[in-house]
Amino acid sequence: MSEPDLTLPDLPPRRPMPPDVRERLRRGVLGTGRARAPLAAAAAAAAVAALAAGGVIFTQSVQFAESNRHHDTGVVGPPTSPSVTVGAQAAVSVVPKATGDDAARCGFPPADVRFTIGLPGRRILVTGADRFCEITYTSITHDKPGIGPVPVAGSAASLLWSSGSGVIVGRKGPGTSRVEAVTGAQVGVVLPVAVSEVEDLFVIPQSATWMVLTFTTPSGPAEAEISTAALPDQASWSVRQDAMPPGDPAVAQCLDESMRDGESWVGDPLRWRPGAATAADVNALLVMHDGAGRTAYCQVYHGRGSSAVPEDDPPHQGDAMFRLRHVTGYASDPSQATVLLGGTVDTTQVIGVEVTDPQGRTAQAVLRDGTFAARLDGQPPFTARSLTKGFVVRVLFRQNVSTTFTLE
Amino acid sequence: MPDTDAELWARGDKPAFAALFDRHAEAVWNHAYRLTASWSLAEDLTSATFLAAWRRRSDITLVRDSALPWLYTVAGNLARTEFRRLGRFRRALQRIPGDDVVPDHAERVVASVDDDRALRRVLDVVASLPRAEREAVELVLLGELSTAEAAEVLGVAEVSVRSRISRARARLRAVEER
Repeated sequence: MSEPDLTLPDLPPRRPMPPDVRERLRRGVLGTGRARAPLAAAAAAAAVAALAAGGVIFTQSVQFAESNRHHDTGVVGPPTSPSVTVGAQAAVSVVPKATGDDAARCGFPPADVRFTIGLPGRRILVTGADRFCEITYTSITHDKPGIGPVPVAGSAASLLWSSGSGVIVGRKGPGTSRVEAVTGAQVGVVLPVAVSEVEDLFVIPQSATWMVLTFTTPSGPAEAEISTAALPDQASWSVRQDAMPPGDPAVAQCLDESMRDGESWVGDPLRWRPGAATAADVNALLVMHDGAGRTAYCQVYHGRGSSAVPEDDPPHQGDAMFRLRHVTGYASDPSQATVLLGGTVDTTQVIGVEVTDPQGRTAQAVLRDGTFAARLDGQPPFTARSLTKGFVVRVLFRQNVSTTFTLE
Repeated sequence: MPDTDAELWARGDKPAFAALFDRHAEAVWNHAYRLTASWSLAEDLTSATFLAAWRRRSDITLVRDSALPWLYTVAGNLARTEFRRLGRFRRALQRIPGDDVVPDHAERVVASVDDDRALRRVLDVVASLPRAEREAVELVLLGELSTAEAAEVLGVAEVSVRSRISRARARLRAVEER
């Protein structure tokens, strides 16, 4: 028997790419679909907003701008994506002291708070004694005193804290003027990691599991390879406690994750309410609505909400009574998949929605507050077709009236 | 005669990039599936990989005139680092519990039925390998690149790639036999 058979069993064979998948990818990569705001512009806007709001010690990392300067001039390229530069969407703002009741929530005397670092979906309070506290929409995390700074690159810097959400805070050594970070393989593939410098500190909003930090010191650049696995683990470095807002906890978790991912569609999180959800399971689809016509879709895994997505771009399928706005799925074993559907219904008139797959299996959608959610297990692998092609939706009205749609 | 990858890469304009996309999208998409065990995530990862390729095009020297080894490496890095931290990755990997989730027995049973079992088991083990071995496994065993191509893109000698693969196989075999 050959070694690969022993070590990598049952690798799926390569498959031809379906035309609809290719078209979706082409639209996303080559920019023939919906326009996306250039990231550099978004980062610049965030920086301006931070300064206008009174940030006094804000230094946006220059590496992101530099790494893109030559790309953003000349030919018009594909749209940029937040997933290209690690943490690039996480523009950092800084305000002196603590805002609102943040100091009280963290248990810090207000006078002790040196400044507050603002990041998407979270705030980090820093005291003059190098104590840290991260506030998110659903949690408060403190550092544990006594762990001590972790020296890196000799005396060029030290790491002070890694928050539970992936933020790393460090201190530049005496004379260190600049901090840069990259991740990637050793040669050729270098992905910059966003770094912001805040007085004597530096902040990596979205740390990678392995990074190379470069510090500009009076004696030249000093490098340090950082593996988060080699740093103190979270249980040693932090204490996390839930601080759930009012309302549905799964919705709150979905919104928390989304905001920390930099999703701007969330807006005021308190507006969002739970809509329909598929039955409780390891995976469930939760539809959320903001009461003003917007919906978002969140997978709840083991009872915890994950980062959500807003409704897919039109064209949606259906009509005013029933509109399919979100389709997702995942491969189960190599011969099976699960499809999850979500959208809106006019629940003043619609009393039920049934979805029948091409194999003839029917699933009842859950309806709630003008939304629906449906789950279809046992679907063929995704690669051979559109996720919903051939699905028949039967919309039931009062007085035994119904209409049907065949999905594409 | 069609342009080589290197020629398209050197041109650096959008039509050239579109040609590269059309040439390699299917291979990257299949590789992304092998890295993630999720077709929906593979689509996202493929998209992110090509966007990263576009952004970094001026910094990269292609290996053996093919962009594929580098695209595989980008996909691997994205899957391991920031892509994992983004919600889209988490959504797609939801069946791999986070540290703070302790599923009960019934959930474990459902999850075991619900998984792309073979590939996820492989990926779980691959993720536990030392970085150097993991990169070699992803490129050579999952990506089916030659050891020479992997060596060039990793910047090490081919014999090093072979030894990393050998060590990785031993670790994988040990895990299987537990």
